[in-house]
Amino acid sequence: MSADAPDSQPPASDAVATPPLDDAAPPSAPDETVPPPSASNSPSASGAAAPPPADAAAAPPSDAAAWRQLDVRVLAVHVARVAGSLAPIAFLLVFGGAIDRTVLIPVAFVFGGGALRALGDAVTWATTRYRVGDELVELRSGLLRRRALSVPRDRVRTVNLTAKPLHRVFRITTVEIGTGTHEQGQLRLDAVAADEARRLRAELLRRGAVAGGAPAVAAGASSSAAGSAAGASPSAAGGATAASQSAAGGAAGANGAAEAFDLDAPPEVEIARLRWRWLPYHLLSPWTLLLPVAAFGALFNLLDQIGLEQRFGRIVGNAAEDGLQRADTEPWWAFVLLVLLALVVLSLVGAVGAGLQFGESWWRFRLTREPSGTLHLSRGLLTSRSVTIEQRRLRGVQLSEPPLQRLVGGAGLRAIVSGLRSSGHDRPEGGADTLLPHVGRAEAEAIAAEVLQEHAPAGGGAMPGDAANSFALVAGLVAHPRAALRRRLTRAVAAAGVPLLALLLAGPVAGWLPSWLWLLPLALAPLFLLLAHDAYRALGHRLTSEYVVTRHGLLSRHTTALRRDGVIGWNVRRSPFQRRSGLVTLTATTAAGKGGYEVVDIAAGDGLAFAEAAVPGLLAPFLEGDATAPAADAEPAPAG
Amino acid sequence: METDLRLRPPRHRVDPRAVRWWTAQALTTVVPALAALAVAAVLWESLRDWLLVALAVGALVGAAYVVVMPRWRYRVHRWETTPEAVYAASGWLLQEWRVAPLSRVQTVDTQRGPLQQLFGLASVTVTTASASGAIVIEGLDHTEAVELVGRLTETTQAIPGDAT
Repeated sequence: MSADAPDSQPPASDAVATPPLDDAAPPSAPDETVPPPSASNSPSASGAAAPPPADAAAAPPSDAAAWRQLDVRVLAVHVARVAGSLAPIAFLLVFGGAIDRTVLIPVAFVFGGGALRALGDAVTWATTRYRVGDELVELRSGLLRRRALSVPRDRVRTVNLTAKPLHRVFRITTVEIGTGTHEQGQLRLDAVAADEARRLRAELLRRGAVAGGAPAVAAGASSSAAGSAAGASPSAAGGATAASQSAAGGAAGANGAAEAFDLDAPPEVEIARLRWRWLPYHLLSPWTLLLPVAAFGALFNLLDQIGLEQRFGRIVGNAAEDGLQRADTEPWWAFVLLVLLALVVLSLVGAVGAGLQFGESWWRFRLTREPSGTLHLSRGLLTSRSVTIEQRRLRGVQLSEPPLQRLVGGAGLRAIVSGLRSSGHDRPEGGADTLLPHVGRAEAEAIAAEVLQEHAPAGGGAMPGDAANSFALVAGLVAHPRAALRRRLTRAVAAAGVPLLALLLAGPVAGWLPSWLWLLPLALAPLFLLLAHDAYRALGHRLTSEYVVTRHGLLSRHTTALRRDGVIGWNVRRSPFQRRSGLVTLTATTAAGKGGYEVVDIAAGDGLAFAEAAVPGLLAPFLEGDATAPAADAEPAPAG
Repeated sequence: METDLRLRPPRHRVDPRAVRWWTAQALTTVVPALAALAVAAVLWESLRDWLLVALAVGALVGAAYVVVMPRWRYRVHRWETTPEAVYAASGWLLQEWRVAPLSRVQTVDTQRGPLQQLFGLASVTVTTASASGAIVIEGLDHTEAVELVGRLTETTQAIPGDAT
């Protein structure tokens, strides 16, 4: 937080002191009451020195403002890790492999590296101090390069707790605080006692909900003020719901604080829990086949490192040689059978592995809404993960349908949260914003509605299975113009045609190419055309009273519902080809998740009308032409 | 449901010297590439014919790029600020228009590469809390850029909120 002006305002103090007055006051007035920006940057006690009166009543127990240290048991984890790097030696001692230079040098490197890292971690442990004051979360660390970080508490968006197996053994937990402005990993406490971690989570987010009431109101008010008169009503309604919601959260938070962090007192509402019938969806992922391959690779690597690879390689080599010799005598179908058998074995191994991995990642999965206005996700067998998201930082959800899942009607769900970076989706266990494993699409949509609090208000507390909720993610999407289909078909023809042309031209020149190769692009062409058509059918967009909904994707489909008040700008992009077909690609930029979500290949006029209708008043001054027909969904939009 | 809405071009052009700057930029990529091809043609006798063909084609394409791109860009690149928003257009073949409300702006700053300094130009970057929302206005007169940054910083500081 350096030169950015809006960033350096700590709204916490005035917001807590005078919640109802604040949003009525002119925008410049609160500036004079807040401390200068430098106060929030200094690691001294200045931030916590003068708590506002309203805050003093709900002050946490006395030790809250004292500097705290990381748990000493983390050193044991580091020692255990270094000892683990000596495992190959132990393995060889037990199984009688030769211990020579080829073994010792890599082991020495690994051990040395591990020991150096452990030393660094020990210094980090010894020098790290943190404290959670009334207004600031502060973190100091470093011996030579000292680092001091302080974050206003109302900036805390997410709190993630992770305990890897070794951490679990020693009952300690890594705490990562997400603020949206700091790089990932900058505010990480590795590690504190498991109880302390849970207490921190409750403390950080409960207070966030208290301080959050006023800014939420202010945001609602300013966005409706920016809106034109015609479009103000939906966003004002959104602001009102957000305000009442966080007011309720604030009340609950105050009660909770008065009860001195009684963690388990308030009841939670369960949104989803692990269902073993989800397992088949999980098995239908590329990882089911990739994991055994990766495992064999790792095994080979290990054997190579401890010098057994040659012996093993000779066995494999002999078998292969033997097979080749018999190839002349055995019938051809025997080999087809062999390949099929290998595939079956591979998928079986993969299925077992993926099943175990599913259990590891999603054991005791629970997604709950806590009374402090937060969503809480916890899961994991060996590595336990806990993600806490403030409801008012939730900007939307994304439904993802990878190709294999689409065949069986499955889908996954991610949260779009400001302060929680979208990452880790390439890993089988999912990222921090992953809300669900792959489940049936209808169920995923129902849970999405529940997460966004979009179920019908009358049926409060309805189970996700109830189809009564009026919020539909995918239904009612508006199709894109035929020109978008033509673009995709052209691309498919080009994808097949260019290699075909190249092969036909290069064929006579380079005589070594097999003559049948040019048939390949020709054979692939129908497949490409089908995919192109499918990609066109994926395109869709829609505007509801509170969300911008967009869907696109070749093979893998992504449906995104982004809160309209979370859209902080529009990018309009047009290639020469798009210009000829009268299309543009819109990007709704947002502070959350990926940072931008696209509406691909929408008709230029409709797209601009859509963008203007979604965030009234933002684009209007820059538009010209006939604006009579808005792109907003004509059907009655579901009320939040 | 065809609507006839268009984005009008932003009000201000960038500095005319930007054409020279973009030309210089284009030359710094085209000239080394052509030089590498020429050197290769001298060194490899066996491939000389092919390399000379590539050099000729490259020279034609490169020359067209050096001549066309800067002028095209100058027609497209425009910017404008209102009391509520920043609006800018950029690109040449692939064109992009970006709008961000000032209430969501986090930082405003200028950059000057060595080439830009040579022509007395500067770029202004307006970042928002979004990873894909930054608006870059290239090729402004340096003093004009500094003024613009001052003006935008003043406006954004007056707006409360945390810009997310």
